[in-house]
Amino acid sequence: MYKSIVFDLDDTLLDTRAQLVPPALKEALNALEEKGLSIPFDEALHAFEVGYFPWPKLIEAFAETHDHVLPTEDYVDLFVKKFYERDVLEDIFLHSDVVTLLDQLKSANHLLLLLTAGSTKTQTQKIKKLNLQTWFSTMSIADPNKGESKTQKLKQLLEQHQLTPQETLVVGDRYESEIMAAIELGCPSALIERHAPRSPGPDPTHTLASVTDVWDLVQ
Amino acid sequence: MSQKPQSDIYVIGPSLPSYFGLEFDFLHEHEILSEMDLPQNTPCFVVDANELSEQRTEQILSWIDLRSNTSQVILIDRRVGPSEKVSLVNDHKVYGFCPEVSEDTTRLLALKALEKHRLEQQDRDLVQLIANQNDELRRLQAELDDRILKRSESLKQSQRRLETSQQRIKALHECLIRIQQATSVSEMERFINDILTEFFAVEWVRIVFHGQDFLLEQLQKAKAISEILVLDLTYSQRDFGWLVISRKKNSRFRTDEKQFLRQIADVLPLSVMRLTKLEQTETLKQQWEATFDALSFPVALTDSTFKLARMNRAFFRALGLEVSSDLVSKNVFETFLGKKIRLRAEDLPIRKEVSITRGETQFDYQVHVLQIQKSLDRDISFVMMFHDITEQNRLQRRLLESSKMAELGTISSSIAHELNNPMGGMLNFIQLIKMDLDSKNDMYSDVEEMENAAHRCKEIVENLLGFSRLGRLEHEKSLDLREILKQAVKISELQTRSRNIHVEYDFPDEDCPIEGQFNYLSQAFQNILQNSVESIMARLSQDPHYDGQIRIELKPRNNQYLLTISDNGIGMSESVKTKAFNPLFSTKPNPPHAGLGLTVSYQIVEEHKGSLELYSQAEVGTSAKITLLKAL
Ligand SMILES: [Mg+2]
Repeated sequence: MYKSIVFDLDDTLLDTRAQLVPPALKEALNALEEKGLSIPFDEALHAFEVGYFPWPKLIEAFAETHDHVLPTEDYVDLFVKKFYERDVLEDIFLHSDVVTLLDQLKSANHLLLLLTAGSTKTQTQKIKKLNLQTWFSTMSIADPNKGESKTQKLKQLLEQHQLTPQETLVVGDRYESEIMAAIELGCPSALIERHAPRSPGPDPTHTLASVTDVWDLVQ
Repeated sequence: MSQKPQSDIYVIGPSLPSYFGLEFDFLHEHEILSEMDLPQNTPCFVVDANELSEQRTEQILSWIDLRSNTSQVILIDRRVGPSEKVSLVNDHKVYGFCPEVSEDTTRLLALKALEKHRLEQQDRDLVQLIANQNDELRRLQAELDDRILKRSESLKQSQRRLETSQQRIKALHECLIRIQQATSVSEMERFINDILTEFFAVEWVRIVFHGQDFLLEQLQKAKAISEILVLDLTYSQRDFGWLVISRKKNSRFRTDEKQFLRQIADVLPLSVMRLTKLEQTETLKQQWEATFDALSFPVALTDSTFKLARMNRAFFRALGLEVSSDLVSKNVFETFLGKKIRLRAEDLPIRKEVSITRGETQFDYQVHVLQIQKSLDRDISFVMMFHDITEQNRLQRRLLESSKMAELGTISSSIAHELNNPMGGMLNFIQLIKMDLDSKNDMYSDVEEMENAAHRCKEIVENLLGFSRLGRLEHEKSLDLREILKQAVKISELQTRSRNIHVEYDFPDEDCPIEGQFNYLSQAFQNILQNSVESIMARLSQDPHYDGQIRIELKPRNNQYLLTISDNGIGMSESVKTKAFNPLFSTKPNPPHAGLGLTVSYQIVEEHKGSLELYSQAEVGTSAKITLLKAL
C-alpha cells in the first residue's frame, strides 16, 4: 500500500525518555546548578512531560521563576549545549518489538527512510550505536544548528527516491515536527499517541497507540 | 316531506281487501321512488307484483336492496317459475313466494320472515358487538403497548443512567486506587488518563503545580483544538495547582461530568503530598539503612519475643553468612549464640557477656539489649548490639596472668627459700618417727599420711623454686621441636598406654628448629599432656569404654610454629577455664601436681616468647594452642 515509510527516531523508534533523557537531564541541570540556577530533577522532568514543550522554553520559564545569577539566555544556551549536544555514552538499544517491526517491514520490501532532527554529532552517534543502517536505505538528519527543517529534508528524501507524497507514510511522535512536515507536503501521516496537547492543525491520517501498529497500517 | 310511522311490515302494492285482516302498512308502488326517506331497515316488505310489469317488479326489488339490505321480502306473483325463484332468492333476498295474497299463508310467511329478520338482526348485533369489543380490545392493547414502550424506554433510560453512575463510581474508585499506587506524578497522570479515556473520551490529563503558571498557560493554548477543563487543586486551603483535562473539540464537559471530575481533583493533592513524603521517607530510610549496615559490630532488631526482625551486615558477617532474610523470625540467641537464653523485659537494659564457639575459635561478646520505647514499627521491641570483646578479654587475661606470674615469682622465691629448709627437717623427723614405729602400730598409717603430705609440700616448694628460676634460663641452640614433643609423649606413654588412650601426631616431615631449654619445654608439654590424660580419665570414670584420644598437631606458619594439643576429655566449664592458669588451682580431687602444671607450662612458654591459650568446652574437650618462635 505504502511504497516507502519515513520514521522519526527519538521517542518513535528509540525510547529516549527511559534511556537518554534522565542522564542527559541530570548532567544539564548540574551544569545549571554550578552557574547558580537550581531546578530539581523531578520537577524539570514533570514540567517537560506536561506538554512536551521545547526544553529551551521550559528552562527560560524556570529561570524566570527561580533564583538565578546569570541572564536567562545564558542558562538556556548552557542547557541546550549540555542536553542536546552531549556525547551518547550510554548503551542505547531498540526494544525487541521495534526490531521485529523493522525486520518485518524490510522483508516485506518497504523502502525504509529515517528522518531525525537534532545535532548532527549526537544523532550520528545514536544511529551508529543502534546499527540503523541494517534497515534504513537513507538516514537524514535535520540539524537546527544549520537551519535545517524536517520539511526540507523530507522533500529531499522524496526527490532522491523519486517518491510521490501519496505513497510515502511518515511516522512520528511529534505533531509539530514530522507530522506537520508530512501534512505540508501531502504525505499520509501516523502520529504515535502520547496523550499530550498538540498545536492546532489538520488531524494526522492515523493515530497509533504504539509504533508497532504501523505493521497493521501497511498490510 | 311526510314521515311515515315505523312499521314492521309494509306492503308495496294495491291495498286489496285480502290484506285487511293482516293489518300491514301500505306503500304505493309509485310512492317508493319519491319517498326516499322511507324508514330504513324495515324488517319485511310484501311486494304484490301481480299487477306490475316484470321490469317494475325488478325496479322495486332493487330499490329495497338499496334502501335496506337487511329486509326480508315476500313476493306475491303468480308468474314466477321455480328457476326464477332461485335467482330472485340469490339476487334480492326474497324470503318467500306467494301466488296470491291469502290471509293465512301470507301472514304465516310474513311472521316467519319477521322471525328470520329478527334472528339475522341478532346475528348482526352480535357480530357488531364482537367487532366493537374487538375494536376496544385492540385499542386497549395499543394503549398498553404504548405504555409498555414508554415504560421500558424510561426504564432503559434510568438503567443507562444507573449504569453510567455505577461506571463512574467504579472509575472513581479505580482512579483513587491507581492514584494511591502511583510512584510518580507522571504515572498518576497516566493512570487517570487511562481510566478517564474509557468513560469520558479524554485526550490527555495533566497535573500542573502552583508556581508553574507558565505551563498552565501553555496547556490552555490547546483550547484551539480541544475542550479544556481546568480544576483547581487545593491542599489545606492553600493553592496546590491545577488538574487540566482535555477532550475532543465539540464534546463539552457537562455539569455532572465536571462534578465527577471535581471529586478526583479533591483527592489528588493528598496523593501527590503522599508521594513527596514517600520520597522523603525513602531517602531517610536509605540513609538509616546505610548507617545500620555501616556499623562494624553486629546489631539486631527483634520483636518482643526476641525473634529477629532486622540485622545489619556485621551480624551476618559475624555468623559467617551471606546477607539474606532466612534468619528473620528465628530466635536471636539461638541464631547468634547457638543456645537459649531467657531474658525478661523488666530486666532491661541488659549488658551481658557471652561466649560462643564457631569452628574452633571462641568469641566473646558483650551483648547490650535495649528496649525501644516508642517504636513506629510495632513488631520491633528490642535493639541488641553485640560487641566483640574476644581480643580485649584475651589481653585482659594475659595481663592478669602475667601479673599473677610476676607476683608469684617474687613471693615464691622468698617463701620457697624460707619453707624449703624447715620442710626438709620435717620430712627427716617424720621418717625417723616412722622407723621407730612398728608397722602394726595404730599411728603408723597416720604417720605415713603425714609423710605423703610433707612430700607433697616439698614438691610444691620445689616447683615454686623452679618456677622463679625460669627467668634465668640459658637457651640451647638447634633443638628440633618434634624431638621435644616426642620426648614429652614418651614420658606420658606410661599413663596413656595403660589407659588405652590413643595419641595421634601430625608433624611436618622437615626439621622444626627452635631455640630454648629442651627439658623445660618438654616439661611444659608433659604438663599439658598430663592435663589431657586426667581429663580423659575423668571421662573414663563415667564411661569405662570411652575412646580417649589426644591429638598433637604441629604446623609451621611464617616465623612461628602453631602447636595444638587437643583431647576429648570432660573439658572445662567457663569458671574453670578462667582459673586454669591460676597456680595451685586444680579441678582434680587429689592433684598429683597440686594445680601448678598448666601454670608452669604457661610460664615456660612465655619465657620462650611464645603464647599458650586454652580452648575448652565442657563435655567436649580441651585444646591448648601454643605458638613458639622458629629459630633464626
Ligand atoms: Mg521524536
